[in-house]
Amino acid sequence: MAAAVDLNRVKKELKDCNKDPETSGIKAELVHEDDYLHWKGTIKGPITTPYEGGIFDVDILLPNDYPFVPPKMKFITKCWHPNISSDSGAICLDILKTEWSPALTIRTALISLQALLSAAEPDDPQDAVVAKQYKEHHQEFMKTAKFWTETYAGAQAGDSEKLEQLMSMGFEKAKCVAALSKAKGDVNAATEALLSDM
Amino acid sequence: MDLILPTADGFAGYLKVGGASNELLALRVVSARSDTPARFEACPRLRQLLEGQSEAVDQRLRRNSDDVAGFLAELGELVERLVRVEPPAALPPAAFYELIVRDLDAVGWNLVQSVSAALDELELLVVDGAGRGHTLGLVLPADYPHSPPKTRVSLPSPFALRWLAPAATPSLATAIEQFQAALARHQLLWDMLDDLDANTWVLEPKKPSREGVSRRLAIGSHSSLELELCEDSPASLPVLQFLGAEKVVAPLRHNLNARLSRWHPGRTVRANLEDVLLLQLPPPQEAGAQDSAESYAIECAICYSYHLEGAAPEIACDGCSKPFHRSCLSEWLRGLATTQQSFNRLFGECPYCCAPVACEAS
Repeated sequence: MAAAVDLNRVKKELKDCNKDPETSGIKAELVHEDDYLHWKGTIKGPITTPYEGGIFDVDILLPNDYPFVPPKMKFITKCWHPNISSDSGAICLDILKTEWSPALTIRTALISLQALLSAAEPDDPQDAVVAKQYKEHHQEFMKTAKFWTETYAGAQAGDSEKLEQLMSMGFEKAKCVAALSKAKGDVNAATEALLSDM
Repeated sequence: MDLILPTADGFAGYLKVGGASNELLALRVVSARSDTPARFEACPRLRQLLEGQSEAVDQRLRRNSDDVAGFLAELGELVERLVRVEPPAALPPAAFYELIVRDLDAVGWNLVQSVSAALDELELLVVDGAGRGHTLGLVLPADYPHSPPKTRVSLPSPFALRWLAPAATPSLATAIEQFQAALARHQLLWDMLDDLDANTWVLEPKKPSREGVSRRLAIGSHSSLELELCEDSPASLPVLQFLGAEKVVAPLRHNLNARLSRWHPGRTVRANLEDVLLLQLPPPQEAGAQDSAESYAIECAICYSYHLEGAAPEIACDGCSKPFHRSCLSEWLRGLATTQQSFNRLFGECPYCCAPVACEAS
């Protein structure tokens, strides 16, 4: 019978997870102080993907026989991705299942999740609807994923898109630029300003 | 006799406690009704006496839920017992303090590191022949100097004061003299240990005490040498144990056996080790040298600990040199479909480098 979770390893892992949050884009903290078996991990959406700019929270539960079995991870932040359930946040990733090994850590698992956001595996899907869209209507997939990132993961839409959004309402470009900069990038405020100008 | 009167919701009154203290303690019992259990309230003094006894009180309350007299009788017994075990708060006579102050005047107040508020616990700094500072902790009994003080020291061997009261009138100076004599007996041991601490990379203990006679020294990648010095003859060959990958430690073990005759008690343990093992012991590392510390670390690569239920990581992978506790590795291998078992031995792959590893099932 395995001993209860070795807190020594878990404590060292927690420290390891937070050693370079700026460069790795990975952070982790305990959900409740004193409960070393329940963590919240945070992943920055990788650049040049529709997840760029988003901050994704991951719920991490360590089973009693960790590290002999993988940690249980799921996304708390909603995420549009073929290998992540758009409903429950469940993740399909081999290292969190059969390919786990005690040589891996929570940190490496979070980095793998970050890599999964960069490179989806639509042939081994968790969410069939998302996977179908990914394969058959990729443009649409990119748009939805980006929209979800902006809506749920707190990413700010880029300036050019905001401008496009305002111009699509029929305003002149120069006015849109002025309104947007006055509203400090807030599309809603800029829209209101433009409307009240009319 | 206890004085208890019925009230609207139960009983209230005083419990008389006999014996030395002879006091009256106020209490109130709220009777049990169909919807709430009986409740017991007490004055601060009674509460203080019953501290930590709430289970015993509840038990008595439940047992006598409809008999207040029975409850009070049992509570009375309990309180009498508690009053009796309360220690008498007797202070030592003034002469005790005068004596200690006089003793301290004699040995010098500059030796005092700390002193308790009641002046009955002292910590004195005693310097040995080599300039090492040692702390002599003393707990003085109320009848000092008739009984000897209790000592708290950090020495490899037990230390007790020889106290011949009251003929020779021993004092704190006597205690310090005897402590200095004990320190003198261990000078060679500390010379050896200090030499190791100053010139080699000690992995354990992290903060060596004057009590310990063991050190674990880094010797190479993922390997270390545990040594336990002989207290009576510190310069002789210590008890040695090599930890780490076989390919690193096997040649050292061979050197040790082949060159054992070169061990010379006139040299330091460090010089002897380096000569006999044909090994340059790595120098001490700065606290910040994290990377190199990792490459020498011999914590189990599964549980990240060195000690697990008293065991050190005794298995090392031949491929990547990563060390494992036998129990950790066998626990991991047991769960894999690719692991083969022959009698009590498990054969599988290293979780890090996939090289073949084997260990006893535990």
